[in-house]
This record gives sequence, C-alpha cells and structure tokens, in this order.
Amino acid sequence: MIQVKNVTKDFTIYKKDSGFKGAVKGLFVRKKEIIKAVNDISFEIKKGEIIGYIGANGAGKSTTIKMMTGVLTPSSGEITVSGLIPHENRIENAKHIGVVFGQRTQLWWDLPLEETFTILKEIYNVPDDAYKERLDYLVNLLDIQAFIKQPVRTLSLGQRMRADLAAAMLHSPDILYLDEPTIGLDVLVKEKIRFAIKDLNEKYKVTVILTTHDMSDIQELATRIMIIEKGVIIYDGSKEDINKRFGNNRMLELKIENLSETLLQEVSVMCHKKDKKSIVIHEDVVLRITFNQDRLAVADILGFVMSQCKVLDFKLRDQDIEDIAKRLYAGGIHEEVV
Amino acid sequence: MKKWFKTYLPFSRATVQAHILAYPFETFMYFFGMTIGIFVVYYIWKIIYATGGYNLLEGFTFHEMIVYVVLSFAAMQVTDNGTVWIIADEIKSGNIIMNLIKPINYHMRVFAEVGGITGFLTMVMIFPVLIITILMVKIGTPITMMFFIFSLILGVVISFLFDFIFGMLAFYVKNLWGIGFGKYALVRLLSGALIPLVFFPKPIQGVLNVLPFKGIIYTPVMIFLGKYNSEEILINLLTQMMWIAVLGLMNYLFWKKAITKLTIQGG
Amino acid sequence: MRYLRIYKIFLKQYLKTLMEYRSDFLIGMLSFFIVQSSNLIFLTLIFKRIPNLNGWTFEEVLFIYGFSQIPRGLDHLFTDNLWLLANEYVRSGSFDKYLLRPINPLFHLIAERFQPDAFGEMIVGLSIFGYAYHLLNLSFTGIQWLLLIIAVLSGSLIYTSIKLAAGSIALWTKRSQHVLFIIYQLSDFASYPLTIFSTFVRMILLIVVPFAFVAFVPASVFLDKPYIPLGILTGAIVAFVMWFISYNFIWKRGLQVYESTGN
Repeated sequence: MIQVKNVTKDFTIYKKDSGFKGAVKGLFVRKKEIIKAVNDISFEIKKGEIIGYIGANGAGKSTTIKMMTGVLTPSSGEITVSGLIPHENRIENAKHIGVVFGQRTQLWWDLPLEETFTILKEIYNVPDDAYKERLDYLVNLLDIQAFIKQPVRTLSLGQRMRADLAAAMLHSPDILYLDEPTIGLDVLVKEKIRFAIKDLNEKYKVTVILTTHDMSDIQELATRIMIIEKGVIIYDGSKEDINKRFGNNRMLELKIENLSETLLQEVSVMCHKKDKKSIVIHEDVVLRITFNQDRLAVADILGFVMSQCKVLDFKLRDQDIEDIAKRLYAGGIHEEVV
Repeated sequence: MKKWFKTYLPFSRATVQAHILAYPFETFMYFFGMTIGIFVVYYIWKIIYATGGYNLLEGFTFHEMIVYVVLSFAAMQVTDNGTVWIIADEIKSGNIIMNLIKPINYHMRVFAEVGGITGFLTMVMIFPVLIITILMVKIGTPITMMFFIFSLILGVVISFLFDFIFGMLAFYVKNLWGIGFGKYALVRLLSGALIPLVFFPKPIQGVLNVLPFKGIIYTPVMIFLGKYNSEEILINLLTQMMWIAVLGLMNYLFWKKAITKLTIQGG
Repeated sequence: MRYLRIYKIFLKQYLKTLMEYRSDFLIGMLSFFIVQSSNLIFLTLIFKRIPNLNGWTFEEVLFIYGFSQIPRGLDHLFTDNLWLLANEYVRSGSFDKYLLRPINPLFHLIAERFQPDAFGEMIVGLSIFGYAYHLLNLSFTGIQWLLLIIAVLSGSLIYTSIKLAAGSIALWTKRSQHVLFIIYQLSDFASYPLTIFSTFVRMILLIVVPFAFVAFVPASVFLDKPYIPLGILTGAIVAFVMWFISYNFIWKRGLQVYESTGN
C-alpha cells in the first residue's frame, strides 16, 4: 500500500547566535547549514497495518509523514501510496487519506461541528447516503452527539480531538495519519480514541500510521513499530521482537534490609565486571539493577546480593517499550544497537 | 530609578529583539511602506501650492508644510507603537493572567516593551528625519529643539495611555483588528497627522484643541516648526501634562474594573 | 459547480457567525467607514483652498476617489485570507491543511474567509460615487453601466492578483506581510488623479504595480477625459495578465518551493 524507498529530505537552516548581540549580528551574516531531517529511509506498509512510529522530537517523524501525505517533496528517493506519488498527485492522494495533527485542529474555529462536517462532505465529494451512514457510525463511535451543534472553539481538548478524528474519517480514507492524537488528553478520552482507531482498523481495514510519545498508545494499538532517530530508521519490526534488537534487557528490583553504601558499591562493581552497560541505582531500601541478560544472569546477581545481606523481596521484569523510549529520548540508543 | 531600569529594561530589549531585529528586512519594508503615504500627500500639497499660487497657506510655506508632513508622519509612527495589539493579544489569548501573577507592574511592563520599540524607532526614524530637516530647512533653535523633544515624549505617553484604554476594549469586542484601523485613522485625523489642524473650520478647531489627540502630534511638530511663542509653548505643554493626568486616572479606574472582571470570570 | 457549492456553504456559515457577533461586524464596518471618511475630510479641506487639482475639479476627484473604493472593497470582502497567508499561515504550519484536501488550495484558502469590514469601504465608495455622479450631472447609458461593471471587476482582480503575488512570497520566506503591506500602500495613489504625480510614480502605477487601472484610468473614461485610449479594455487585459502571472508564476511556483522546504 505504501512504499518508501531510499528517501532523504534535506533542509537548509540559517543559524543565528543567541542574545541581543547575536540578533544584531544576524542582520549581516548568517550561517548556512544543511541538515538531513530524514536520511535514506526505506520501508513498506501493507493494508490494515497499524504502525507505531516513534522517535524523539526532531527525529524526523513529522517530515516522514508530510512526505507521505504529499505536503513535502523528498529531496531524493521514491514514495508511492496506493500507486500514486503523493507530491505529484497531491489532490488525488488527498482523497484517500485522512490526517489528524494533535497539536493543530483542522476544523473551522467559529463553525458548529455539524457544519464543519457538511463542508467536508462537499470538499471530499461524499455522496449523500454514504455520508449519512458514515456520519452515524462516527458519531456513535466517538460519542460526538452531545456537542455536535457547538462551535469548535467551545469544545474541550478531548472533544475537539474526537471531532478532528471524525472529520478525518468522514470520506472513508484507506489510510489514516495520526500525529500525536492523544497528546494532553485524559485517560478516558485516550481510551475512546484508541477504541475508535481499533474499530476503524478492524471494520474497514484502515491502515494507520501513528506517531506518539505515549507508549501505552503503542502497546495497545500498534501491530508494528518503527523507530526513527536522527533521520534514520533504527528499528522496524514487531512489538515482541523489540527486546532482541535493543539488548535483552531486564530489570531486577530488590528490597533489602540495611542497604549500605558499601553494598551498593560492591554490587555495582560485580555487575559492571560482566555487563559494562548495566545500571545500578537505589531508592530508599530498594536496589534497582538494569542489565542485559545475555551477559549477566539473574541467578548470579541474586546469589551475590543474598550472600551479602538479607533480601526482603524482589521483582524481575522485562524491559518494555516505555524503557526503550526513555533511553531513546535520553540521548539515543543508536550506538547500543546490537 | 536604577532598580526600575533593571526590572523593566530587559522587556524593552527583548521586544526590540523579537519584533525588529528578528525580522530586519520586514521592519525595513514596513517603514518603507509607511512612507508611501507621505509621497501621496507630498504631491497633493505640491499641486495645491502651485495651482493656488500660495506663498503662505494658513501660515505655512511650502517647505514648512513638507517638514510638517514628514515630521508628523514620523511622530505618528513613533507614537503608534503597538500598545493596543500587545494588550489585546494578551487579553484574547488569556496570557494576561500569566503576566498578572508576575511581581511587576503591568502598565510599566507594557510601557517598557513599547518604549523599547519607540526608542529604537526614534533612533532609526526620528533622528535621521530631524537631522535632514534641520540641515534642509534651517529652523529651530536648541531651545525649541529641547521643547520639541520634551513635548514629543509627552505625546508618546499620551498615546500610550490612550492606546492602553483602547486595548482594554478586547475584554468586550472580538474584532479589534478592524477597530484598530479605525482608531489609527481617527487619531491621524484628530492629531493633525493628516492635515494641520489650522485647516479645520474654526469651531471644529476649538473642539480639537480640548481633545487629547492634539498633544500627540500637532503640539510637538508645531513647536519644532517655531509656530508657537513661549507663552503658547507653555500652555500647550501644560495641556499635554493635564491630559496625561486625566488619561492616567482613567487607566487606573478602567484597569481596576477590568481586573475585577478578570478575577471574577476567570478570563 | 462543486466549488460554487462549497463556496456557498462557507458563505452561509460565515453569515451565521456574523449574526452571532453582530456588534463586531458593525464596529469593523464603522472603522473602515472612518478610515475612508478621514480621507474624504482631507480632500474637502484642501479643496476649500484651491479651485481644482491640476485640472481636476472637486467633483471629479470625488468621482475618482469613490470609484476607487468599490473594487478595493470587493477584493477586501472576498480575499482577505491572503493577508493571513502572508502573515501567519506558513509560519504557524496551518498552511499544510490546504494541501491535505482534495480541492484547489487557493480556492480553499480564499473561500474560508469573508471580510465584512469591507462593507465600510464599499458603502463609502458607493456613496461618494453616487454623490459625485449627481454633482457632475452624469447620466450613463446601458453600455456605460456595463463598462462600469467590467471596470470594477477588473479593478478587483488587479487588487487580488497583486495581493496573491505578494502573499505567495511567504511560501519562500514564511512571512511576507510587510511586502504585501508596502505594495498595498501603493494603492493609496490609486484614489487620486494620476496626473498630479511625477512621471516616475505614474510609470510605477501603470506598469510595475498597475493600480492606475483600478480607478483612475476607467474613471477618466467615464469623466470623458480619457487618460489612455481604450482605457477599460486595457484595464481588463491588464487584470487578466496580472492574474495569470500571479497565479501561475508566483503562487504555483511558491507551492512547489513550500513542498520542498516545509516549515
């Protein structure tokens, strides 16, 4: 359905020094710099997939989505969406996609929601009966009825987000691009939105490309994960395989009687001997060790600690996407990739 | 005083940086655009003096009239410095609340911001215009120059206080953009920036004399042109100060009311 | 047809919101009314001192001035969103929206906004025009009225084309409000007899930024003092050429650039 082949996007930026002096200086000289927002990425997306597309701010997520929607032209490489090249056939492509930007509404601020829908019906040329059926379905699915007569500016963020999603799906697009659709929403609205996305995907086989910073969105929705860092896709695969890719990390939590500095030191030294990247931290009486289980066995750690002191309780858990995302945002896991 | 500068000067700097230095080309274009109006008026006056065969029209030689046009235009640019938009934007966006919880005087802060712009504009606009006109027309003694600058500063304050009240309209109206145009045109007409006030019929002149707008443009420019004797200068400066007091009081009262409205309704 | 239907829906919705903010609408109109009136007062005051302005009587100057406000108001009424294109849409990223919908992005942009403040200009324009028409004892034939309509539409199209060209620059620079502003300011010249200006100014207004064709050239035809031969036809041609250049060479080129640089 979507093919992206060796796509690169360069941007030229002009640098200004900071502060008042910098601004004055900026009047005369500008430093030019070319950055690769997206660097030689390739992937293919099949019909009905839900892609969780993650990466830190500025990693290249939005640029990728803008290229797929035809708003941006790639500097090099090829993109085809349902056989069309988006930036060349932007209007044709636009008929088959729905787009939601969490940060920015696509609705008309002063118009009642209902009227917004009628305008979109005309813009997308949706036949009357199809429109009616679709609208009923979306109104039910997203629970919109209660505020459909209100002007958009009076809607709460959660209502607006649901309205935006409905507006993007009115013309029954095959592909739905969602850029941070749950940003700033409360848990209940998040649930509603996720349910709606799932339902659209199951009933209508809508392909979904979802960027988010909320890993629970990914956990619940994504059938496949793509991670982008500094313009390069560093992971593309299933949720389950992600641990293999980013080191088979686990976390051991130990509750200890009389946790002392010396003990901490000793455990730390012992762990680092086998796994240089292991992390040992403590909070009150809890000792938390993150380690790669290919290098360091749980039994070794447990044995060592128990020989030193009394362990009251312990917990062992696999690293999840949340942990990976944390490491990703903290400064990159590019180098860690095994 | 020193503390005052320390507190509010950063606002002036930041505003100049954000609004002027960040968009140097655009700022330049904007001024260039504003000067186009002068040219239209210049040609019209030129024809008037020529076809009417006037040496002196309402006490103005052609040269003086051109100086009047240029200087009143420059003064208009300096006094119309965006106060309305700053306040209106903050009221509309609700950011006003963020600024009210800071331990600084709201009026002073806004004044520091627009004052920064005014100061900057004065340097890039008024001074060059002044120097050129002084060289060209050879008018003005150092004393009248001093009175002119003093009067212009009073004009800036009057304009600020008036605009501040005007900006508070944003509490009540949505279409402030349109009103802004209307206000600009009105001030331009009533302050003498469009045509010297002596051109109005006598009864209307009487009305204009007691309105605050005259003090924004007409008074300083007439002082510069040496059209006032020392007694008239004194009366006009006092009138300006009187208006500052009145508008200041009005600001205080409106502001108190607006703040109450804000705290009761939550913005 | 479909576009017309879409436009009608936008307009209908817009008029509904207008009723909601009736006072704002009236205030906005009043403001532009004041703007126009202040220029009128200026004209009245100076004509007390002179019999004519370079051979143009007060009534004739009024006729030109009133005429000029009609196309200006029409354009203002319909294409005001071009100002927002110049000022903020590209910078804030809202412009993406127009590229994500399956209709002509320029149509979408323009259809979305309707500026009733312009009624202030149009009312003043029509009133002054009517007043001058009366003072000058004019009586137009059917053909003349038709020519008048053509001239007004051409004038509006000139305004729109110039605004489109200047607004589109934002697609390169993110913001072009100041360029648009400066060019729009030139239209101040359009409200007065062109002959009072220097040759240089005249050339600019005839050739570079052809505001002369908005009001002065056609008005001079109706006043029986034609400034150039076939003024109205020339004006219409100028309007179409301007539109063609603005749309194809500036707006469309700008879209391509936007697509390659984003925001």
